[in-house]
Amino acid sequence: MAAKLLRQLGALAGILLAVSLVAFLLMNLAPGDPALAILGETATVESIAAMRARLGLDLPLSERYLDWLGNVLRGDLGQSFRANEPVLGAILGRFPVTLELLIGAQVVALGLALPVGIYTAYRARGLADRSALAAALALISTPPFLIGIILIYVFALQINLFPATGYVPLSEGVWRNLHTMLLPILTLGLFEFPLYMRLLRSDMIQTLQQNFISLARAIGLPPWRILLGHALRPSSFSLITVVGINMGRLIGGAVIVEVLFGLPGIGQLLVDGIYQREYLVVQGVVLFVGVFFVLINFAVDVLYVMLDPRVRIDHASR
Amino acid sequence: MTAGALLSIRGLKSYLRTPRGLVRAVDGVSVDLAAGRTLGLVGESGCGKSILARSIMGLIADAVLDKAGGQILFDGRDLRGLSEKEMRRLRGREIAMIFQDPMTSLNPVMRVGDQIGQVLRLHFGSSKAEAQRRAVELLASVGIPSPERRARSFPHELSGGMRQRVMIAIALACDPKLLIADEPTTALDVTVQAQILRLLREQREKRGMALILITHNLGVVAGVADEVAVMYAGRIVEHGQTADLLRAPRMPYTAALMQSAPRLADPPHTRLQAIQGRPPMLIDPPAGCRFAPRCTRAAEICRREPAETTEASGERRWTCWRPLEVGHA
Amino acid sequence: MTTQAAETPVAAPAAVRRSRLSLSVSLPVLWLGAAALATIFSAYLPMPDPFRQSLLRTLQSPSPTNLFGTDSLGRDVLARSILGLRVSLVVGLGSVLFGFALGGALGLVSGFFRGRVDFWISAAMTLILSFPPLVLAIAIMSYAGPSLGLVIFTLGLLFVPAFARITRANTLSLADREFVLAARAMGMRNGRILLQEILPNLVAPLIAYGMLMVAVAIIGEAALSFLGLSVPPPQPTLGGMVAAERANLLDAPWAVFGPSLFLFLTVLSLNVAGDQLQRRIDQREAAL
Repeated sequence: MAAKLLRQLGALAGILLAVSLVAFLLMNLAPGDPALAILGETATVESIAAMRARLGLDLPLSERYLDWLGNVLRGDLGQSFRANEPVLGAILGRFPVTLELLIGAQVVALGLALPVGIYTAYRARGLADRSALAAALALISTPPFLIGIILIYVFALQINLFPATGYVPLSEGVWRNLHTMLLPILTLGLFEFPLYMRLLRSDMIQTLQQNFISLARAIGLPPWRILLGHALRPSSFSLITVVGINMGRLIGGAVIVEVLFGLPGIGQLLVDGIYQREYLVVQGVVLFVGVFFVLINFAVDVLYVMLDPRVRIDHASR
Repeated sequence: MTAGALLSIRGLKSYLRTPRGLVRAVDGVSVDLAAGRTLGLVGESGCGKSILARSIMGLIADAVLDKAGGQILFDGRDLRGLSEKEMRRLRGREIAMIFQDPMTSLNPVMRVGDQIGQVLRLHFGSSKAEAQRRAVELLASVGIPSPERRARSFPHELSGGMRQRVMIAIALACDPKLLIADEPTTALDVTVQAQILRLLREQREKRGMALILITHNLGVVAGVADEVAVMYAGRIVEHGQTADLLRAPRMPYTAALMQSAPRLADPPHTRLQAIQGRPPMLIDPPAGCRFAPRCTRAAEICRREPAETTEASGERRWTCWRPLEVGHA
Repeated sequence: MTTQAAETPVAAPAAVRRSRLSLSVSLPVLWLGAAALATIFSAYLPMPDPFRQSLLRTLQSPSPTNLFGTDSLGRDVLARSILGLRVSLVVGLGSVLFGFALGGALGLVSGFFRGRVDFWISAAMTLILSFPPLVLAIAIMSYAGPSLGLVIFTLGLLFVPAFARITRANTLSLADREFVLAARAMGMRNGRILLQEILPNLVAPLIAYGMLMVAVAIIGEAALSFLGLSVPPPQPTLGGMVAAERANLLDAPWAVFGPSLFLFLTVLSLNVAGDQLQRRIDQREAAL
């Protein structure tokens, strides 16, 4: 068990190192001169040289990477040029907004997917099942920004229930915050809902064919207790895995949603950084998101082992 | 038939709707079982034994089951006429069932004690602590060592024989009047098979419940059952007291089964060597006697017309045009 | 005679299933075919010039001349949507073909030779999978600058691990099957075994999977173009049109929902058709 954990930690360190390399190379192998891009077309030769020195572009690539990595490990991701603030500080300041969006979306998606997935598995091939599958297919075929725009059109422009854009921080009151966050959360939640629902439904249909479900019926348990008490847990292992991994994957969708609704999260920071040619900000966000993503996936792996008693034993006996 | 039978099945037909057509899995079965007696239901796989058992339990989904006719009288009530809700009150409490495969029939992510306890809580409304205490007692009564510890185990931590004992404990939890054991020993090691059969016999005697023991193995039936019904292609083709029937089988199919009977010592799923061919497809069964295509004694009439049932004294019946003479085997 | 009676209950539902199946295949194929033709021959369609601005005719509601109305610069939304759909289709198809070619090759090599080659290829795949896909695409596009070729390359790169994994798993299972062993025993060379024996067996499932992936790629391109990180203007893109006109959502919803409708119908058609093809393959394999 300990040896296995050690091996996993080793692999984790390797992947994190690779992630940092990708983030580094993205900026350093990109065509064009970052110094020129930052300073603009009017820059003088001297100022470009100075900027290159400041960015460390005059050193060999491997040396620059090690320097950069050393700084990163000390928590220094550089300074942004326009706002002149530490990149790490900017990221950490905006991350709570993104995190609230991600968690809210997961709650919405699971809140919808659990009842719908369970019921459609129980009544597979029925009318409700077929309607739900058709709706899921339609949602999967809708880009996230379009879901958001439809929600804005209906709830912000037609019936004026929620604002179309804008953000109020949690510190100014939970309800005022939710008022601005609800549509973005709903957008992202509806975007992942069909994935969860279809996964739970198909796993649940398989579980319901198992012999232990026959036994549960043979002792006289009513359907809802069989579904919730016996079928749900063994059917939800892959769902839990996907929900965990999606914490990271969803950041892609969060970028779109933050831009659409004007939320000051790290997705907005990334896109603003791109528009304003803040290369260090972009690099910092990419690195941060990559590390977050890898750590989430690692945690999911570890948690999974604790969840399923069969896997738990297998690992312990190894 | 027997007055005051606990279970009386009359002309039961259970057809299954499948993509290939209607399967006549149980096609006119009549059999009685008195309280406290053991019936051995014997036949090859695919003959309709399990569908018959699941019909009694009402475990076949309405979408699949075509209740083509007949009655299942249990304690005077026709189970076919009960609602699903009324059936649920019966299942696990008055009629219990043990399944063939103990490896997959227990919930893999639920502790053994909880799986026994939930039956008691469901039917008797027992408290959690009370259910847990009874679960340990039940585990002890089915011969599981250190039951307190075992109650906290997950199924995968137990051997196949242990799991089958757990399933028996679940079935016995509410003191049912009828226990249906569907191939309870088929998936087990040879040495364990005999132990499980002995346990079933002891518990049946102790509790005075009726037992239907479903098996493809006449050897299993010999030591446990009071009477035997031989099933073939959805019908009961021969019936009698165990000793009578085994001493003098009249239906050629029964005789063939006996000759090919795997002894307890044989590995599980040993093929029945002596009978040529396979049981007929029950979508489109043969017109005459359903065994005729495989029967060594078959004559013209066997292939043309369904055989008639002959009744003899002592609950002895067979369905055959050309029965064997007494003393043949 | 007797068989007829037994088969009657089967015949009716089978006929119903067949007609429903054909509808759910023919409608998507019809739309995709029409979309392909319209985008290829858009120059010959009797429509207004998609690039001509008319500041006197901005945000006009749909009319016989402008079926989808006009945008904030007075350009015809339908004509621009068709051009935008061309980008979607080219990028969707191109990136999946690129991802399939590279991923398929890597997976085939990985599964066939195993060992060290396998290790390094899977390490490279892990690297691509270490970022949320859309974030990686945004990052590459932002550093390298927007262009059609780069969008295809970037989105295609995201598909490489999936295609490699599927091809590798199939190769592993096929490589041990009798016919491949037989070919080996007959002294066929490795390369020929790969091409003649293994590849043909992978084609049908890959096409079904590929259709679903084209749908994903089109959504990915839409997301990138919504952020302004896809093909640069003046070339219209569906996501770019939505992004540009969303400020006028209340006054001119057609300028947003016109291109959105194209996007939705195309992706939906691909998903439905891909699902159906997948199901047929599953049925055929179950029958084997």
